[in-house]
This record gives sequence, C-alpha cells and structure tokens, in this order.
Amino acid sequence: MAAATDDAGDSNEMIRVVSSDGEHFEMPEAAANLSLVLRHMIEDDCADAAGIPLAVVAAKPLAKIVDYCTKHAAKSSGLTIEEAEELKRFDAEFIEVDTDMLYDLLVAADFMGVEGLSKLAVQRTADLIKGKTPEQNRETFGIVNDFTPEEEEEICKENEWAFQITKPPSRLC
Amino acid sequence: MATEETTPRRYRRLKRANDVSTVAVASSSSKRVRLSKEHNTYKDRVSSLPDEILSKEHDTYEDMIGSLPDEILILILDKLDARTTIITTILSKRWLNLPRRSHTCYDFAIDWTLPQVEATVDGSQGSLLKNLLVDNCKFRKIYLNSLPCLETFACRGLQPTKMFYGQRILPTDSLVLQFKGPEEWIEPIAVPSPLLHLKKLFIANVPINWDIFWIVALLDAAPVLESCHVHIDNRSEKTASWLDVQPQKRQCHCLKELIVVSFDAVGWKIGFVKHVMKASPRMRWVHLLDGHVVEDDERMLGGLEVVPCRRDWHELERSDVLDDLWDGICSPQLEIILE
Repeated sequence: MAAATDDAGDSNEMIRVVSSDGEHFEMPEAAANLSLVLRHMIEDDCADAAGIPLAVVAAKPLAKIVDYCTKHAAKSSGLTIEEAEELKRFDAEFIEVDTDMLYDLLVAADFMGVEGLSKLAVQRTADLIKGKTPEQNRETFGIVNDFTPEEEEEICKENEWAFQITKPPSRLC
Repeated sequence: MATEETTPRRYRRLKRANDVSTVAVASSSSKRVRLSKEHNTYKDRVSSLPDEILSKEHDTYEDMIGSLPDEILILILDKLDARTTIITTILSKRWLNLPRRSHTCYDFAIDWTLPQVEATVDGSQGSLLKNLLVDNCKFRKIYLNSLPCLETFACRGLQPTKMFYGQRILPTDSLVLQFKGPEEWIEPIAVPSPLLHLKKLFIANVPINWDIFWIVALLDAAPVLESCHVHIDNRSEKTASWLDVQPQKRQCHCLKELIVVSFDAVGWKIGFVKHVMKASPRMRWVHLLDGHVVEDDERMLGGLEVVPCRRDWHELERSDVLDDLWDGICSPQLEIILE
C-alpha cells in the first residue's frame, strides 16, 4: 500500500489504520478524511503500508468507525432525499449499541475527530439518559452514588421543581 | 417583576396566518461548544487523554461514563432539556457541577411541569443565560426579566403568545420573525414600545394573505433600522387583503437595504417596495428576487438563510415592473436589482 500522495482529488487510495490491539483495517481515503486526525496524518504523509497506529482505539470500536466513515464518505455530496433518508436509517441502526460500545465510540470519535459520529454518539447517550430516574441512570451507566443522604436531600431542595415527579397533564388550559 | 404591561393598540382586524415564532437575535453569534474545534497533533492528543482511558480495561460495573472528559459530558448535557440536566446533578459528585460549567443554551421543557398560562423567566442578578427557546409553547404570556446576556430568544407554539420584555435585557439590534407551522390566528399589533436599537430586521414566511403593510408598522417603530429582509410565502392560497389603516408617514432615515424574497409583479408587493423606498432617503440597495427561506440547523435559533431561485421574467413584464418601481423615485445612489 503506497503512501497517500498530495495529488488533489486522488481519493481511490486505501488508507490503513492499526488498532491499539494490533488489528489492521483499511478504508478509502475519502472515508479516512472524515477523521480530522487521519486527514492531518495523510496530509503530512504519515499514511504508509504499515498503517496509522491509533493507540487508544481498540479493534471493536475501530471496526465500527471504519464502517461509519466508509458509508458516510460514499454518500457525502449531492444527496438525494432518498439517500439522505437511507443515511439517517443507517445512523439510527449503527448507534443501537450497548453502553460499553457507546462509551468506546464517544472516546474514539472525539479522539479521531469524526464530528458526525461524535454528534451521533452524544445524542444517543442523551437519549438513553432522558426519561429515566437517577437510579435507573446509575444502573445503566454503572455510576456509583457517592453522596450522603443529606447531600442528596440538599441537591433536591435546591431545584425542587425538577425533582418533583409529576405526570404531564393530558391537556393544558 | 419589572414588566410594564401596556395594552397594545389594535390597529387592524385579525388575520389568518401560521404559527408565529419570534426570534430576537443580538449581533454577536452564540458560542456553542463544538466538537474537536482544533485538533492538535496526534501526539498531543494521546498524551492529553486521561490515564484511565489509555489503560482502559473496563467491565460493566465500572463508571465508564464518569471517566469521559468533561467536554464530552457537557456535550451530552447540552442535548438534554433543563429538567433532565438538573436531575443528572444527583447521579454522583462527578456530575454535580457540570451543568454550571457550560450552558450557553438551555432547553426549558417545562410546559407540563408548570401548568400555567403565564411564564416568567427571571434571570435574577448575574444571569448568564444567552439562548432561550420555548418550544411547543402553551403560555399565553411570557415575561422576560433580568436577562442581561440574552442573545437569542425563540418561541414556537400553537397559540398566540404575547411577549413582554422587562428591564435589564440587552437592547436588541437584530430581530427575526418567522411565521410558520399549522394555521393560526395572528394579531398583528402596533409595536407598543419603539425598537430603538434595531438595525436588522428579517421577517420570514409572511403568509401571502397577510397585508404586508403591517411590516411598515415595525419599520415605523425602528428609527435606526439599516437592513430589512422580507420573505413572502406564496404557498398560501388566500389572496391579499388591503390594510384598513394608514401607515404613519415616518421616514426610515438609516435604512440602506431592502431585500424582498418571493417578489413578483403583484401590485401590492410593488406598492410595498415603493412605499419603503420613498420613506428611506438613504436607501442604496433594493434586491427583489424569487426564492425561499431555510432554517440553518447549525445555528439552532434564528438562523435563517435565503435560497434564491431564478424567475423567468418576460422581458416586457420585467421592464414594466422596473418602470413602476422607479416611477416617482429620484435617488442617484439607489440600485434596484430585479431577479
């Protein structure tokens, strides 16, 4: 695999990346360009046959990210409405992952500078948090409650309106 | 509460229109947290990551989300409504102070927790609230008090909402009004207090059955207005009706540009443009074009963009319209672009 050249518009090149646990992946240059970090490495001629090492991204999330970038790069410009819809569906399915993977994707996407994926993972996390009690959220995300009961009570008091469990009335006014 | 409730002078009958959304945008654009704004070198980024991420061997019971960098957690909080955000503060000490750190933007999803017909947003002293969106608004009246940093306010709702601006609000120099959504009764009223600082006005999706001269009332109230964009929504099938009051013969001394989107050779549109041109001695640029307005999602509030489209004028019709527009206007520095 040759190093990426500076030739403008040469996007058929395949870029190799190596996960923290030593697995190799390949994706088209256009896909790699969706990651700011990879793009800068390619521009600096750091993409070679050995592959770009990604020290903090393990194989499992990296495989997902390669998938994401390849799909989005193939359909980046001049989308028809159908294609945009399809991409939306792809995103929705793509992000249906467990919290372990979600956490890995959040870190990896932010680290690699894949903006679209970062937004997607952030939104998914927010969606998981919404509509749940604090206890449910602690369970979902493995959060340990390190407040004393007194501290907890004080926080509740400070913003009483938010902690009151009320059901939305069926009709207003 | 520092709100003066004035009884607005009704100056015309009710008109049918669409959902009103009122967005007041001050000049400085909102600063939202962006993902990976600047990417340092690869090495910097690796070395700046917390140790727990580098030596990550997580299992299900570990607090993984808590070991995320603050910036990512704040991005997540930004996607939550205010109530949910506040509830996250009780999760653990890690979460306690995060909401205080970031928020330039709050989404107050509180209409059902406070079932009232009036809402007061009182920032009290030292409020840093910059952007406020009231979505699915069911309030009849909203009072905004003591919000010295407020840059953007947007209100979307299914019924008319009266806005009251109290004291200590940044003088607005830019106003965006967009009328869209399901059909709705709108009552255009005379502006109760002058918009003394308003320099830019953007009125979008004005239904075609509305009398465009109510815009003149806004112009009358904005003595230092410099730029005015009007977009008329031609999709409404109702015909235009005429204004039954006379606009005041006030001059717009500072108005330099007028842009009318969805302009065609309809008499009342020509009449409106002529009226504004006559009232604006400093007018330099009148741009009349076909097109529509899209919302710029990235800017979230008040971000509207004009998408032009070419109109095939019959050459004679075009020159007739131009003759009409120029008739009685003598202003050497004025340029009229008709597309």
